[in-house]
Amino acid sequence: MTDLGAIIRKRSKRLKVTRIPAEDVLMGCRVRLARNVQSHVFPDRATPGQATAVLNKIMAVIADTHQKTLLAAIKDFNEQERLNLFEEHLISKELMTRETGGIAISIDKAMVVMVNEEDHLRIQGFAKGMDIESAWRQADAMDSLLDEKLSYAWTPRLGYLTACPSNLGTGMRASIMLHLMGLRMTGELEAVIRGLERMRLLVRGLYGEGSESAGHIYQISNMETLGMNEQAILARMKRICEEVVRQECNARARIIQNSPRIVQDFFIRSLSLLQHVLMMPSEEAIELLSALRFGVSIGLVTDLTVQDVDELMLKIQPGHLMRECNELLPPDKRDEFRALLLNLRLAKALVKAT
Amino acid sequence: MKCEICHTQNAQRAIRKRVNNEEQELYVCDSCAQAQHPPQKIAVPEELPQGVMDAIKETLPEIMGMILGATVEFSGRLHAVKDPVCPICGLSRSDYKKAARLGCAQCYETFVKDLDNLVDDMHCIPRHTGKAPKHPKPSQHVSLLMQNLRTAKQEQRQADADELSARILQLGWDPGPTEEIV
Repeated sequence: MTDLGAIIRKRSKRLKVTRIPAEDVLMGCRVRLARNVQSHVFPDRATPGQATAVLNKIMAVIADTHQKTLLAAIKDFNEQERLNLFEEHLISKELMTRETGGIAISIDKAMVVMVNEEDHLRIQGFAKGMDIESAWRQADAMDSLLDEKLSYAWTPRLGYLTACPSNLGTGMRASIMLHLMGLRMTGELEAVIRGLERMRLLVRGLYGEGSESAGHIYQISNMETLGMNEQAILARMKRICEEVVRQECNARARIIQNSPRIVQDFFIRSLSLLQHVLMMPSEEAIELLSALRFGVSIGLVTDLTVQDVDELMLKIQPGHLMRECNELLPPDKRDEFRALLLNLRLAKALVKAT
Repeated sequence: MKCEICHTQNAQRAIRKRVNNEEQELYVCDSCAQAQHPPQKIAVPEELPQGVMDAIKETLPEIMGMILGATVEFSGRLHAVKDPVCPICGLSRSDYKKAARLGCAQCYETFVKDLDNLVDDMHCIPRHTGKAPKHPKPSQHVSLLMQNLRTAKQEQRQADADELSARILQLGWDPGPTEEIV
């Protein structure tokens, strides 16, 4: 007869977690600069003719000054391609529907210019982890190149003039994306978010403005763009986010210390669903992958890296699934295909017993 | 105190009177005050019946006051509801309030009063510090104000120069040295 008591005693050993990697909490960062061209009506008020004239002017300047950049008009992309760009965080949801919009992407995808979004120019620099200075350098370099040829709308008192006064001044929004699963599990996340908002920082979901949090992934960005210079904004953002990362690591350590069986059970349940179900909606998939990411990060899930999980989070998005299938799929077919993709990719993954 | 004109009656009120090209304040009795400043007669057409004339004489100041009050109130309301429109992009204040987005750089000048308060609320320090374009260029409107300021200074119109300087400053540009024109 099986000695269940012995099995439980054996399983009740402490989880062997040697390290809580802070770098796994970080999911990347971005710096965005908003600019408008002097003497041209902003995109929202421009006629199609006026907007197209600005688009052509900006594209010509970029083509002239920045050789290693791919240029395209939004109208040249089909619906699925636009969705792919959005899911990769290269364009905003708003630009997806702007027929007079344009995009310039550097070959390494570290710099993207959105044209005729809310403002004439949204220059974005991207970097891994919390290397926000690198993201700033990417955006700043492009901005300086464009400044040589374009006359920006600017005043000494208000700085760069933007369609929404909340972006005035530097026109800079620096964002750091964090995976805050530990703080969610300990119930401390709400208090942390309230604290960040009191410090005049914006806390948004996975896809930025207007998006809900999915998979406990949050974008933290500066609210104020006027009155502080770019370096001061970046330094403050970094200082505060480092503290949030420290709190997240502490929360993860406490969960593992205090509730090892619950944590293990949680990982096993998440992985089992991902490995076996036949239909998987994207919201549920993101939640389960988020749990898996935590498990992988602390070394409790085998045969996977955090980067693999991040890649899966992107691949299961509707646009990427349709690209994989090379056809437009209705939602139920997408759920089926998503489940299959996850079943196959995670077939060999295991949650360690101790 | 005795009346400063007749020196017999007690002084009841103060009047102003020019004496030797100098305006003086005198404390006088009622009859001297009336003699110095007789009340303005209200011109009423003679053909109106006496009863009507009496009624008009009695109530006209009140009616005029009511009309004036109503006019002031009406013009005040008109001023309050007046919806400024940007001359470049055609955005009105109500459009802006609906969309929460401005239509062009000129809107910052058109709606300067509304935006000053909003910017103060949105940003702790409403003054830009940070990167600037290599060759900053003021808008056409500000350029025109600057040109007018130069002319006012050349023509030594201090009051105009001060007003133009204040407007340029409000629009976020430096109007240059503020020394008085001599």
